[in-house]
Amino acid sequence: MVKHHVSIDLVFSALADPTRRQLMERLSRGTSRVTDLAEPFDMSLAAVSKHLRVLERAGLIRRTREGRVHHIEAEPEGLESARDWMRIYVESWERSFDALDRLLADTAPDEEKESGR
Amino acid sequence: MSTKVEIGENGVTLTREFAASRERVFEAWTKPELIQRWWGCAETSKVVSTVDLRVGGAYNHLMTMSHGEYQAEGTITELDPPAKLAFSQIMAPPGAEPVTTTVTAVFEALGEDRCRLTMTHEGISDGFICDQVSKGWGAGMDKLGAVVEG
Repeated sequence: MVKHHVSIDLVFSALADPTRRQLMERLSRGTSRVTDLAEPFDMSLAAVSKHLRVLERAGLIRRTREGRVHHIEAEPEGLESARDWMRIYVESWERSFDALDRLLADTAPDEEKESGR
Repeated sequence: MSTKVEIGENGVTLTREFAASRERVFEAWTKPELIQRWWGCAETSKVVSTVDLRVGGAYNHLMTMSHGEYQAEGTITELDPPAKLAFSQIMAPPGAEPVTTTVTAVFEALGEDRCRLTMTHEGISDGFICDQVSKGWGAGMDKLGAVVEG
């Protein structure tokens, strides 16, 4: 089991960028060389490499070298902890908001009685 | 009513609408006797809250959960009733460094009896997650714990 000790903040900020999300989407379809990955983007190879470094630091991709060729692949577990955590976090708040909903309905001002406030 | 979720560089933003004036929703976020009735998660059976409602004032929510007691506490950093509330939220996992996160809640009036709440939670780190895991929040924690806890 791959252990991750990456801050969720890093994962979130890595995914907040649309270019990086597109890179992840391409990598979900398979391993790629850096040059092939960079090809469809209207930016320099250096700029794409910078994005890849952010993804690497966030534990979302890994890099292997075959001589001078760099291959990039998505880390299979990279997104899993973020996804799991997100689901749990959102569910937790959702339940609290549901309870807040009920409280607001239960304590809605009633025009027929004195509110006393 | 469902909660909209956005993940950004700052953290997580949750948006939800309530069928109540923003004054009432704001009140529910700041009056202890009201907070106690909705704060927490499914595993929380009881909440006891204290709030010193001023900028720099401290708050404390003591939650009784299936695994024991748990405290969410911090300081109010912004107070602009009924529009905005911000506070730090400190979590202290046993035997680990306390983690400080920031919550910002914006209350928008959508007509007389409708409010949009936009809540941003920043500073979410793996320490924060480990803390939640150790307190047993939510389902599927075992799997998450195995992945996250070093």
